[in-house]
Order: sequence, then structure tokens, then C-alpha cells
Amino acid sequence: MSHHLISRRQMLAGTAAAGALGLTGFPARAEVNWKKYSGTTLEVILAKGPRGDNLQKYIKEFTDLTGIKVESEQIPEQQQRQKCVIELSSGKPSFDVVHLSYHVQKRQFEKAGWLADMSGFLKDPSLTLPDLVESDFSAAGLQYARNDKGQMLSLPWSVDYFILYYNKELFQKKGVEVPKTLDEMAAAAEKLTDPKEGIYGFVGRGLRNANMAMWTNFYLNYGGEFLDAKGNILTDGPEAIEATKLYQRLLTKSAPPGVAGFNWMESMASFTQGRSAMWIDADGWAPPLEDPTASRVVGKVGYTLVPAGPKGQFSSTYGDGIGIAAASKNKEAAYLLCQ
Amino acid sequence: MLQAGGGVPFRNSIVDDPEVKKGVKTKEWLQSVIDSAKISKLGLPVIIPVAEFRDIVGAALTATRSGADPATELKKAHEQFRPILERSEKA
Repeated sequence: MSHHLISRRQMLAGTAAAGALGLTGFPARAEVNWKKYSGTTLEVILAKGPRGDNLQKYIKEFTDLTGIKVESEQIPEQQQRQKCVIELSSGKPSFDVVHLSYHVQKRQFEKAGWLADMSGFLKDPSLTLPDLVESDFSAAGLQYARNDKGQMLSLPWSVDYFILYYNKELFQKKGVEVPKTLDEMAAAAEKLTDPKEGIYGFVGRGLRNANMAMWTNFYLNYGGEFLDAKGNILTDGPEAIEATKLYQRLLTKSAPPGVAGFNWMESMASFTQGRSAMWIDADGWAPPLEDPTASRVVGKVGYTLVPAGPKGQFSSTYGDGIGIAAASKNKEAAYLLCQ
Repeated sequence: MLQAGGGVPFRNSIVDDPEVKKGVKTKEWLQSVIDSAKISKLGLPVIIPVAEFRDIVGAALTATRSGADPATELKKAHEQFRPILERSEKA
């Protein structure tokens, strides 16, 4: 057993955690038979991005431990999704391990039966480290990874929660409190807006399609559910109307000019320039906001929950998982990599 | 990933680990993530035509920015999307 391999857990935490934890190798009690599939070659398809980079960074250590060779490729997200569908539907995918975007592909992959069931692997001590147990995954992760029969068809990898970013300096200047409710947020946004100074109270995704990621958080907090028990879509009811009125109010009264064309990047640009006082988006933007070479709001950013609606307070959640193609002939070896 | 502030794992033991927390520079950000995890809810319906859903309802939202009535636009989007969802489930 290697004493130099970083575990998936440490990889997810960040490289510094390995040293901080003093966990530079797998626990001695582990009974995983790492060499059992030595000589196998795995093919991995990843969506291009930091998560793919992170996995690739540790492939050599995995190969040193297991003797399993890994060929991996990162492809821009949209192309990766298309390639996965084409190859998986052919029944003969070129890859064993697939990086999937749950919020887009979960239903499609499950309905088609493209992913192998990992439930048995998770319970097998010769394949699974003792600290990897289903109960360690957050509720949203399990909701994504399990199918309706309770089978684990992937391992939840990385999650995005929607949060509220706010500019403390602008709030202080106008004497505005951090909003606890959506109504308070809309009122605060209007108070913070000062077009003469080029300051706007709220920014968020206004671009068609991208705008849904923000709107659904409003919808959930107004009590909306997406589907009824029969699978019918429900997004034209009173909750949807109220959420849309809020969206309309925020983006017409308190948002910067041109917001209808804004995705996350343009929204972030407005916020980092100190031009927008609040921004709702995924949680992964702290690094650029706190980067003094790219941001004018370093040290001034508040991070908090998306405000509550009249029917609840939720954080819209999206995420990625890693799974094994049902057609793979190397499922156990692939599972060693996934975990 | 977590310590760089650019990604959050689904595993609670990592997010809650005091040693890992020490390595996170923006503590307020981390707390917002921990608190959000407790109130997390899937942000899109678990359906196959997700892209079409986002396009059609997203277009309704965009229309409201120009003053269109939310109820009318959502109704139109609903009627447009419903058969697409039905077809995808029957396929």
C-alpha cells in the first residue's frame, strides 16, 4: 500500500489539506486490494474545467498505487455532453469513466440505463475505503446520484449552491441592512440603486436560458415545485408568477443597463467593479472577487444565504458526478478511480 | 478545490473538517456554503429536455423585462414546453 497517494477525499478538500491533515496516505486499516486490477487501462471523459484539472493532477499517483493506466481527456462542456450521448447510445462508448452534469444529464442517463450500479462496490471493503460511505454525501448529492430504485449510479463529486454576494461598502454607505427576505432584497436593491453614480442594487443572469438558474431559486422560495406526481411540469402556477414578478422588478428597476445580455461572467464583472451591490449566483466565485489583480471589491464582499421567500428558504443546487459506463468491461478498476 | 474557494465537494466530512476549514481563506464564504448545504434543493427539474425547458421559460422571463405580463408569458411557455416533455418521456 502506498503511503504517498492522496485520497479522493483530500483531492476534494484541496492539496493543502493533505499536509494539514497529516494524511499523506490511505489509512492503514483499509483493506482495499489496490493491485487487483493492475495492467488494466481506463479511458476517462471529462468536462473541461477545474474539476477535470484536479482529477488529472492525481492520475499518476493513482497509477503508481494500482498499476492501472488512465487515459483521460477534457472536452469543453457542451461538446463533452454531446459526445457522451452519441457514444453511450451506440452501446460501445470509448470510455469507462464519465464526468456527468447532474442537473442536465441525470434523467437522460438513468432512463437510458447508461450507468453502472455502484451500490455493491460501495459496500465491498476490497474496493472501498472505510471513510467512503453513502451517508457522508449531502442530501442533494444523494438525490442526484441515486435512481428511483435507490441504486447509486454515480458518486457525487462537486456541488454548486446559489448564494447572495453583497458589497458591504455600498450597503454601509446607504445604511442598508442585509436582506433576510426576497421582499427586503428588492426594496434594498432599489434603495442602493443610484444611476447617476453608476451604481445598481442588483445584478444577476438576465440572458435567456442562463436566467433560469437564478429564477428557479426565487421559484423554490415562493413554494414552487417543478413536477407533480405524474411528471407534469408545474411552472405556470401562482408561485411561478410571483417569482417572475420579483425577477421583473429586480431586473427592470435595480439592474445595470444591458442586463438582459448578462450571464454569470458579465454579472461578475459588474460586481467586481463595484457597480452592483448584490449578486445571486453559484458559490464558486470567491477567488476572482477576492483577487486584487482582477477585483475592486477585495475585502468588501459579504457572502450569505439567498433570502427567504414567503414559503421557504432554499439554495438552488447544481452538481457534477462521476460514473461508470454500464458497457465498460473494467467496472471494478473504474470504480477504484471514481472513489 | 474547497480550500481554493472554487469548488465544493458533496461530502460533508470534508466541508465540516476543522483542519480543512483552517485552509480556507474566506471564512464568511465557507460559512455561506455550509449554511446553504442545509437548505439545498435541486435547481432544475429532473427531466431529459432540460435545455428546452431553460430556453422556453427563460424566453418568457426575458420578455417580462420589456414589460410583458408574467402570467401570460408563463402560460405561453407552459403550453409550448408541455408537449416537448411528454414526447421525451414517451421516447
